[in-house]
Amino acid sequence: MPLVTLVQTGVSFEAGDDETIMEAAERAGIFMVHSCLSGTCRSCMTRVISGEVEHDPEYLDDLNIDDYEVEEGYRLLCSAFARTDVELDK
Amino acid sequence: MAKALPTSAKMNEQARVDSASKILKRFYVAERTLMRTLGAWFVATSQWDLKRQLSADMWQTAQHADVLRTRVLELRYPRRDVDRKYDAQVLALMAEVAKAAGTREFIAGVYDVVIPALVQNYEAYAARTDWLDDAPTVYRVQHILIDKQMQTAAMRSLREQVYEGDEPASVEQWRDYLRQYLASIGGFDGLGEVSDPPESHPCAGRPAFDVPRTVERDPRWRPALFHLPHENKYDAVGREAWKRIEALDKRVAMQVWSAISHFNEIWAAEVPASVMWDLDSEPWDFYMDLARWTWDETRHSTMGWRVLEGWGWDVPDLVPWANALYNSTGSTPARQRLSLLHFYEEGLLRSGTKQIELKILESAQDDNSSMDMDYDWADEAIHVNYGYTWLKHLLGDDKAGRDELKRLTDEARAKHADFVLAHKDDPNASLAPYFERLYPVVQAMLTDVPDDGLDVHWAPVAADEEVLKEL
Repeated sequence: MPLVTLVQTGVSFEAGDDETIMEAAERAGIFMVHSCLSGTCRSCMTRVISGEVEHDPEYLDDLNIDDYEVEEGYRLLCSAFARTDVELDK
Repeated sequence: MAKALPTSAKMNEQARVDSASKILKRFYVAERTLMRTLGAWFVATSQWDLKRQLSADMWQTAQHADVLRTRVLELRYPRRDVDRKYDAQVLALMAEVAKAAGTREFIAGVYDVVIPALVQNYEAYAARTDWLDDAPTVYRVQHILIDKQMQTAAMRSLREQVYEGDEPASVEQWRDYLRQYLASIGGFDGLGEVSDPPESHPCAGRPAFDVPRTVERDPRWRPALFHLPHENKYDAVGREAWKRIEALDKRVAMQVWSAISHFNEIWAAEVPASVMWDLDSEPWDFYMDLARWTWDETRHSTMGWRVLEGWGWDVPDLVPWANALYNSTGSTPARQRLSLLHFYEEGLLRSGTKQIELKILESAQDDNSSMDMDYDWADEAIHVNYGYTWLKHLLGDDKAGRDELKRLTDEARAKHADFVLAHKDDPNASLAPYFERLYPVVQAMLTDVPDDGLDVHWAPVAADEEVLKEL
């Protein structure tokens, strides 16, 4: 399973293939800011420092994130999967 | 002669699809305008019990407009016209309704004239139409009627509580004017005889209504500009007075902070309601969302009030009910007011403030406040979606739009900071008298809860972040 590392706090946890990063953090008992869990409130938006994080393709059109934000490496962690080991700016 | 089987029922021409859709469109226009007017008068009303009823009824009215609009479109009505070609007579009447000379008149006009007339028209529609052919309308109208009847009953009861003594003659005169005006447009359904509006009536000819740019609070409360120490960096004495409460326990401080903060969220209801009034030609979903935003924030304010009352406090004496957050930017353009509100709401969620507040309240084992915060948090997530969506619509979904959002927000924050500075010596800016009265009351109520080792960092969201350094 991919390893997710929160660079600012140094905490790491594993994330399953069909598990959003937010779900994985909760399973690991790690507090992360979130609200709607549907990709609309943007409270979990985080910059990916390294690795591949993919937004849930089924709900891409429903996510409140701009193309330029995605290009700058931001993802909505409540609606995104780690596809490789990743480092997050958190 | 041609041949046919005999009909089993006589058709009413007004119940045919073309006629029905036109009548329902008039109802939609009436409800849509009533919703915006209730919102604007919610802002203009200071009396707390009436204010929150107006907000709740405003949101229900948005639901009524929505189901009517949906039904109009189902009845072969051109989509491109449903939000154009509004009936000028209905708009003219509703513009008069808004011109009431105070809350008492406004409520008399809406709850004694407008809503009863709508009820009568809906009942007549349901009686006239075919219960099977037009069943989707009948179903919707029956549910609207339930709401309207509950609204009028609730407001009747509130008026009996709030208003003492005989009703001024001017109120009945206002009702009379609106009844005459309504009759002159042939009723909301337009099926009555049309005549000239009552231009010689003593109530005719008033200037157009506008939503207030400054608000006042219920006169049972002393005037207050601010409600908690993060709002006013110049109030060092108030901050010190607050710190005594904070020193009792961070859980206690959060319980008090959260209830006072919730109660004062009324400004966050007033902003979207005033924006709905100022911007009158946006897509229908814009109004649906802002109506909900307004009602949610009124609910949050009511949550705070319920907690404060639940502690048995003399709320008007102990708790400031402030107006600076509305008044400091009340005269700025609607887009700017919405930008500032969105700044606060997004800031609260992105910093995790609500989540942390919930944890502290749970640690205090305050189930009531925790439940309120839990639902508040869910509501605020919806509001950030509204802000994100509609500010893009209003300002542009591109870099120029984003730059404009930042400019508007920064300017609004600066205006608020200027307002705070301009009022730093205003006696109504000082929170110390409240917190000094509150301290012994809170202290006397303290109770033991298990120490769960709560270890969280919490900070409020403030327009002027300088103030946070002092907290």
